[in-house]
Amino acid sequence: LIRRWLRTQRLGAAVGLLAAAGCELAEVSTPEGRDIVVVEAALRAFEAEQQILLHRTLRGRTVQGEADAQVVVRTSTGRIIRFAYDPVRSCVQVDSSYLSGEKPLDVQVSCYRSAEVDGVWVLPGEAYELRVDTRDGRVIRGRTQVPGDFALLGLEPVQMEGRVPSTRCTLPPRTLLPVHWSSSRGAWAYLTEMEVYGLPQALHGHGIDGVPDPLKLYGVTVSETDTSTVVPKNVGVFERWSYPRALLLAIQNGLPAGTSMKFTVAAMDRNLVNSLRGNSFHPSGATRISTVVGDGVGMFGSMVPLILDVEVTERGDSPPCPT
Amino acid sequence: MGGALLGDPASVQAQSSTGSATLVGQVTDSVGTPLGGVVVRAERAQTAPLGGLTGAAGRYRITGLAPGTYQVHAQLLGYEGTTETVVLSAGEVSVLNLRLRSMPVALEAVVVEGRRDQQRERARFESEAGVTARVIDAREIRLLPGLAEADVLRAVEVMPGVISTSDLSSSFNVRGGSADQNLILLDGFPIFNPFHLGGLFSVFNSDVVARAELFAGGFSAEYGGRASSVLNVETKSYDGEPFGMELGVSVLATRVNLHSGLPQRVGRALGGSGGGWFVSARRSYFDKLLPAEQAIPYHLTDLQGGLTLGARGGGTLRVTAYTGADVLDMSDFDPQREGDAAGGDIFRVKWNWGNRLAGLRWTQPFGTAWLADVRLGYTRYGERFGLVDFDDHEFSSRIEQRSLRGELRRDLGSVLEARMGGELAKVRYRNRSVAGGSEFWNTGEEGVLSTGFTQLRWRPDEHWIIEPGLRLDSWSAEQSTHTYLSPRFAVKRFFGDERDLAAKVAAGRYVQFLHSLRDESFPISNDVWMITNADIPTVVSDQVQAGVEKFWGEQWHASVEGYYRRFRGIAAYNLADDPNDPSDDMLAGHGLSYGLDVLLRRSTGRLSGWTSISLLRAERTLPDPLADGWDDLPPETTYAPAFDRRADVELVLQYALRRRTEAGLRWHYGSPLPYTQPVGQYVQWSYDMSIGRYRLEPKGGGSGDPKLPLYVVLGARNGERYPAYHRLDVSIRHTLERRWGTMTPYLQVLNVYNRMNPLFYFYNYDRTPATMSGISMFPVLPTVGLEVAF
Repeated sequence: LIRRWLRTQRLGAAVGLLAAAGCELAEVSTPEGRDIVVVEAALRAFEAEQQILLHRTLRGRTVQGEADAQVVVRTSTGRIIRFAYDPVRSCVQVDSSYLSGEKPLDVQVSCYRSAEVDGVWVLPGEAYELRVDTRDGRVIRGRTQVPGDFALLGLEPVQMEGRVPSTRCTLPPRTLLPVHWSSSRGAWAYLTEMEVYGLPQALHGHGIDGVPDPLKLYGVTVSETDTSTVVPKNVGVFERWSYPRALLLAIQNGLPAGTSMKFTVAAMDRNLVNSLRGNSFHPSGATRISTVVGDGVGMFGSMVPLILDVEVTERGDSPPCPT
Repeated sequence: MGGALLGDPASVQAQSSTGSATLVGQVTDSVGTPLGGVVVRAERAQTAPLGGLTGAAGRYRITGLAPGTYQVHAQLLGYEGTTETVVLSAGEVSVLNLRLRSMPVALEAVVVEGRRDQQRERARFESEAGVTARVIDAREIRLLPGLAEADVLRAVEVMPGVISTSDLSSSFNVRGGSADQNLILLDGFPIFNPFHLGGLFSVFNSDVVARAELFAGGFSAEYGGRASSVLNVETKSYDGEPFGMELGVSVLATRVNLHSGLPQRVGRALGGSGGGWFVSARRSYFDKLLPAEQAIPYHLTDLQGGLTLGARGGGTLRVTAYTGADVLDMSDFDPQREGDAAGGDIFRVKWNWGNRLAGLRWTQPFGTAWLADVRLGYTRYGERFGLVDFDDHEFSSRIEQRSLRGELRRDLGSVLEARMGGELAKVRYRNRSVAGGSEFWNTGEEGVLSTGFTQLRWRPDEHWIIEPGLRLDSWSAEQSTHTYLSPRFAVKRFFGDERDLAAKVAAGRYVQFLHSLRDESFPISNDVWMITNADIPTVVSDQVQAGVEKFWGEQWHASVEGYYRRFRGIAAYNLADDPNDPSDDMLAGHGLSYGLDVLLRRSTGRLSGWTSISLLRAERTLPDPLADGWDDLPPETTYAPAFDRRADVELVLQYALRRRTEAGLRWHYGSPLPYTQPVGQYVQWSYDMSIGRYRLEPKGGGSGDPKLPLYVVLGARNGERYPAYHRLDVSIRHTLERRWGTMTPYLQVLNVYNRMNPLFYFYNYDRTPATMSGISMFPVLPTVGLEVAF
């Protein structure tokens, strides 16, 4: 994953050189792209409600949905889970900046949900098959094997039925937090996500503009056995081109007092990793390895997430984090 | 010239009668390097002279000489001629070795150099059966319009069978082979990645290059290690020359070359008999000359040296050394100081890469029949990429090779020549990437290549050359051994009394134990090498070629050659590899290519040049790692590689306008190259792992009208083609003579008629209507430079 990412960075530098060397070609109109169904389906272990998105490739600024499709997931025991089309409650959250301006985006994504009565049916280590039948007769299929169960080491999780296991601790300001976890059998990688709240206030006066709240950064460790990271130093691998350098440097060796952090680590299956890491280089933009087959593209993968809530303060209500 | 002398000794016809004498020998330069293409004539009063050209090993044999006293003349343009007297008795086989001294030529040097190097091609034509060798000399390299300054690897592009896919890269493909299947040698020693700026320029300083010789196919058993071609860049020896200096200034870099012949006393003190040396350096100056706010913190450097020493007994010792680097160092780059609107968004990197090479070559004749050639070499290429502000990121790649190679050549009678030898090479590589504190890739190992070869050249009569050869390569790496027997066979038939028309067929197997992971569809990038092991395949290529070649005196030369090549063990990076399984990093596929190369060349006169037409069809087939378990997905994908240029036409003209003014012209046409067209785009959702929701939010949390993050849906791999490529380049050089030396200002104009050859297309399906834009390769680009020689 990172190998690809590093290559992308090197390619990025080279693209700059190319752009400087050549001339822009005149823009011409071209026939519209193909009308392709896109599937976004990431199963999350322990969650009672699973959701799947269906939409089409872009037509200008319109993301057309795919209503009234038959969406079914079959478990390895032969149990059939039907996903119902939900025209009311959206599965997506779109930043308002995309919905206004000169070319507002028209988002008509179709959301499909499993029924709560089905209970918690996505379990670590199990295999699932997806089948989507659209109204116009297209069939899209996928398979996933959920990675095995795992746990954060040195932290006692709180397990609630139908919810992702989570735990809580207190971390002194400007302190690095080493996080270790047990191995998840069959995981291709662990994706980490850090949401930091309260940074604009905590960094006020540092001369850093545009500090988002929350600040979301991602990290990754690759392979089943690579089971540790240091937070926040090792998180933010993918955002180092995106955020101000001063902001990222300001939190490299620990978060300032008054902030809090939600840290998630997820063991990912093959399909999620393939979807995230991209396909071969293309000058028109990011590419992705599709993990569904048939009359569409997209992803059908699975993950086992764990959550750690951290309060950054000298003295907090929760137990101290294991540093 | 009438001809009982036929190039190499083994090429002589068996026409001597019992009463006639035979004269044999070798022609070398003053340090013992064999000279091919030397005109040797034996003259006697009132009889027609007999003679011809020496072969590549400098050998000659004149048969059918009546007893008597002869004046034997040896001449080679660029050298002082020599004449010896010899008395021959009936039935005698007399040995006469001749030595020529190089002669600096001021007048019409252009033509002289040209002819000498074309004679090398002619010598190979006359003495070798299989190899397709094309030579381009120093003058031709200088006159070929290039980017900023003359470039050897750019010059190679104009040869038949050679494809270059982009203005931005001097990397090249030969007859449907991948770029990593070209063995590039500097004075006989391999150099792994001879490019600056990701391929924009080569590392070779044109001032010290004597010639480049490309073996596009049919090379004999002594060559191996790469499957597609061999390019040998030879530097000048400066033997017998006075001290001199060349200085070159271009918009790219400044370069300097100091050189001299070795004084006799130094040569003797070193145990030899003369020789020469040079030291050459080059540095770019984008980082030094531009104002601080515009300066690019990038520079390239080259430092190269060579020493040639004549050894006792006509041998030669040659030392070759090179070190060079590209450095992009933003350590001191302060984006706040620059007042960039992006503020601290500048991403500071430190990135460097480069080659090192050291080689010692000893060639030594033993008597008139034996010639030994021993090479001891070290070559290394490395790259390192890191972030200045974050010490938890690093990418590094390194490969190095140590090798010892020995070869013996022996004449076995008048019609048979044998070469045998072997090589031991230890190759070591390591590729490593670290990010976010985790080591994500750390592969490296060592392999040992043991090679033995034997190559025979048999001339049953003056019309035939038959070359059977056999090469054994044994590669050991990671407790696995791969052994390949590679037969080579070539036969050539001459026609006519002048032996200037020939037809040939050559076939052989070529194996390669190295792969570069470089993405060839991207024009600027560096090589990342890996070696064959139990999981990474060996490239095995079976090739056959057949052609006809014809010389008209020393002026015209034409060649038509067809070929077919099959490749197994093509390796490609597995984009869907399992991080838990180190054995699936690479995909092993296969490929083929076939085509026809046509060359028409005029080598002498005020107007010289050539035109070449290369027709090619290439295919690659790779397994689809995602197809496993799905009946509706094909297990393999077959596609045209990025260099599948079906037709390539080159026209190169070089003209001596006046005594000191030369002009060069190159027109290049290339049929459309393949690319993968996007067929759609869709929104790239962010997935919030903590709550399991999809979001669409600006990357970096920016404000204003954010860019919509999109995924591209790709169509069939390389299923579309760009428009045809064509471009006209011109150059003009004028040499001003001064008492202290010469000054040569030059002007080069690339892409004279400003053809917008596309480099990339960008498809935008998020617009109504959908649009296609792109960037071109070089627009019209004039550059000037100055060369000064003392």
